Amino acid sequence: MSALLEVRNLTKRFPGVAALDNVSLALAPGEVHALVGENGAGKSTLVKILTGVHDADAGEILWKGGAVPALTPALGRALGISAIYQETSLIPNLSVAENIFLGRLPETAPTIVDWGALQRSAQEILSQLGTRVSPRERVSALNMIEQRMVEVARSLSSRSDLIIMDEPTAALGANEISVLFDTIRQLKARGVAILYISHFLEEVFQVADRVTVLRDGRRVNTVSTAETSAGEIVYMMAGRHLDLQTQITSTPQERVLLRADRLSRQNAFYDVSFTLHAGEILGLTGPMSSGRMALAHALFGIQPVTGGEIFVGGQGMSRMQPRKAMRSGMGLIPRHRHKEGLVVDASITRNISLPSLDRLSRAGVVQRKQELTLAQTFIERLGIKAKSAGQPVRELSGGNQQKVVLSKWMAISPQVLILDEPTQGVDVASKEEIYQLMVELAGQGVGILFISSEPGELARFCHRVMIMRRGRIVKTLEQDELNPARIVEQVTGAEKA
Amino acid sequence: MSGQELHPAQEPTAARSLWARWLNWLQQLEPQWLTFGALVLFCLIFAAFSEAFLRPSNLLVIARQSSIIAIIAIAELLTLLAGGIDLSVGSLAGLSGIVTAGVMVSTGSPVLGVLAGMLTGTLFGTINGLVITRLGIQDIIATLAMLFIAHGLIYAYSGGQPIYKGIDEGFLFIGQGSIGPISMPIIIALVVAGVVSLMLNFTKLGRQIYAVGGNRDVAYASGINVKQTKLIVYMLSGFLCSIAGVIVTARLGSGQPAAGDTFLLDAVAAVILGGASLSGGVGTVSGTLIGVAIIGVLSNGLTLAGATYYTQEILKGVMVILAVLLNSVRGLKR
Repeated sequence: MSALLEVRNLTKRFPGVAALDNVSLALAPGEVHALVGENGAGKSTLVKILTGVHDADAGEILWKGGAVPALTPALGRALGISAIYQETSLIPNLSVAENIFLGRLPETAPTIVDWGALQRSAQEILSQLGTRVSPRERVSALNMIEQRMVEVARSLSSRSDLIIMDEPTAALGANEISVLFDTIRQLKARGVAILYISHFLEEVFQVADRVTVLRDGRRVNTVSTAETSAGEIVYMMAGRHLDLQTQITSTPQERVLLRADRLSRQNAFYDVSFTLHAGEILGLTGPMSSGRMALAHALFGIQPVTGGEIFVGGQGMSRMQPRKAMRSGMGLIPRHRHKEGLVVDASITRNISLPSLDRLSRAGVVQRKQELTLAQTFIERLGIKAKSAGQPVRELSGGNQQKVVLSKWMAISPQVLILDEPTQGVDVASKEEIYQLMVELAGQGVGILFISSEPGELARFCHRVMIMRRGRIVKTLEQDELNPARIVEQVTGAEKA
Repeated sequence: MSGQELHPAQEPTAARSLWARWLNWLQQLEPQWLTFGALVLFCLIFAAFSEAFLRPSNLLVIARQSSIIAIIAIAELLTLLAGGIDLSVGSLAGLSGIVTAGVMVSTGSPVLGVLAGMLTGTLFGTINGLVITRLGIQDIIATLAMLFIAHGLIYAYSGGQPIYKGIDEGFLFIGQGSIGPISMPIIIALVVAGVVSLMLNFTKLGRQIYAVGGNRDVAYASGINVKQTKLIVYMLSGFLCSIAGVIVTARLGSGQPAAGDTFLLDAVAAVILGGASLSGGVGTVSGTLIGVAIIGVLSNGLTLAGATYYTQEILKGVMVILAVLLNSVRGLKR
């Protein structure tokens, strides 16, 4: 059997990390091939290379046996590769039909759109999918589930030989998922190959013929689903962490610092309740699409909640805002450093002092000496490597940038710190330093909500770990049952597979 | 890992290393030095063409002619720094100027006239800020609307006629007087530049303006009141425009309906020449002053060299493109 797509020794480096390291993979026509691994294992990078978003640094891509030069989105489409992404890529102000056939609208004469044919073909595909979405509807009027179905329809309509599905079920309910799976089986029967990326092992075992497990940018193994078990896959995903010892030194105190009571936000998370104690490191994990980032945002007041209440130090906070959160002693180290954590054009000093300006000012004038002292204290304490405190943060490495974000929030002497993937895109040495800092802060009685995708670091440092799936906290692992394999098992739903 | 390790040195082929070294040198420079270099270059060129150019008296003329644009450019700088833009600066200056003249003539009091003029500019600037922050209308749209509204009000108020009868003689000092050899508009512009520069560098408000423009989400997540900061910035912009308006009226000795019509484009050009970014968070008062000086030197020098006004405009346009291009080349390797 000749392969439809084959990648050989694909490698992609980003500053400080090898996102993909010598990965090889082959897909046969009509094969559903699952790609699994923790967040950051390299799945998204592989998808981005295959769809032409990134260039590989090394390696080969073969399509139907012939070598493909650098892939671009247009070339990918011409070859017959299409993709459905985690995040929607529809144009909201166009109709469903236009979105499905975007870039290849049927024409009666050159440049004149054949609207009748467009509606009919769109309707045909939508009916095939068993959805009642009208082709004339504007995409902006659709809910998440309907939008996802439109994306599936778009992929179907392009008559691709390979469809890449990146977490296609993330926003779907059980009925839609089973429709999608039926569709996948139909496509398979027609000889279409599918690269199926998912966090949910139960789905993988339902639809996939083979599974490739990635870990730290490397391929661990490719196995046939018929010849493996969820447990084995979990082991492959978590493998390296299994020997790590826990490094918990502090004991949480009785005092509750942060409490969430049935928090909900439409389309993001539902009925989330938990308590965070003084001196506790509480882990939160789940697929990227689980709503964990939205939860962090809501706790800090960056996005509003649609239900439930947040209590800080026993006090109810209605209409949380970052300003209020800060004043009540909370800090957030956000997942996207550049988007939410740093003013990259500004200096280290000015970034660190930003949340502390009130304290550092007299009659509206910033006390520059105090400000500089504050910055230098943290530059020294966290070992930030920079030419001077006045250096713009855009010139720093990822690890040092992250330390600036940490400094910024440590400077307000927080009671509660929310850390969202604090070690992502950070070099190994800085990673360890960030861990030690976290442990040290917890030792001083700070409550830490530690959001992470790495089972290893969660098991190493957390007192408890909450597992989030599809917007809900489905399980909280206590300290005595914490190990990387248990976490992966819960995140992937392996016990149900 | 240090920052430099991310950019390993290029292979030293001769041509490339020269280019790389030049680029590197360019990147080390503060943006305003680049513009300053351009300014010096122009001065040298014009000095070669006309011996009158470098005379102190001529340089003071350039400074005086540039001072009003300088104040308006600083107003524009503030809104750009905060991630916005104010298209109504010229209209607001014009409106403030005509109200100053009108109220002075009808009350006979220059003090009341100036107060009314400054209040008008500040009030309309505040309205800009409120429309942007409370109604959530984009900066460029809200101030474009204000450009029209204020312009219409100028003509509604003046009937399209200049107001000159009954302008107080003492009031003219603001625009026509001088202390020693330095004329009043220059002094006022320098004071404005100094105060705004101190505000931007030393006060909490200054930090907030840079942070809001640099990254609005980060500023919000750092507890900064983004809306309030923007409101204050537009208010200040209106206030500064009103100062410019008062000076214009005093300089011309009358309230001229069309007085503010050309300010906007020159001000934006000056701010951009001075290294500020349209996307916010980057820019300085000193850079802006250099930008203003370049525009002033260009028009003065070209006039002395006998070039037409149209030539000046063409050159101004080319300069703006070059300035932005230089800045993006600087940013290339970051």
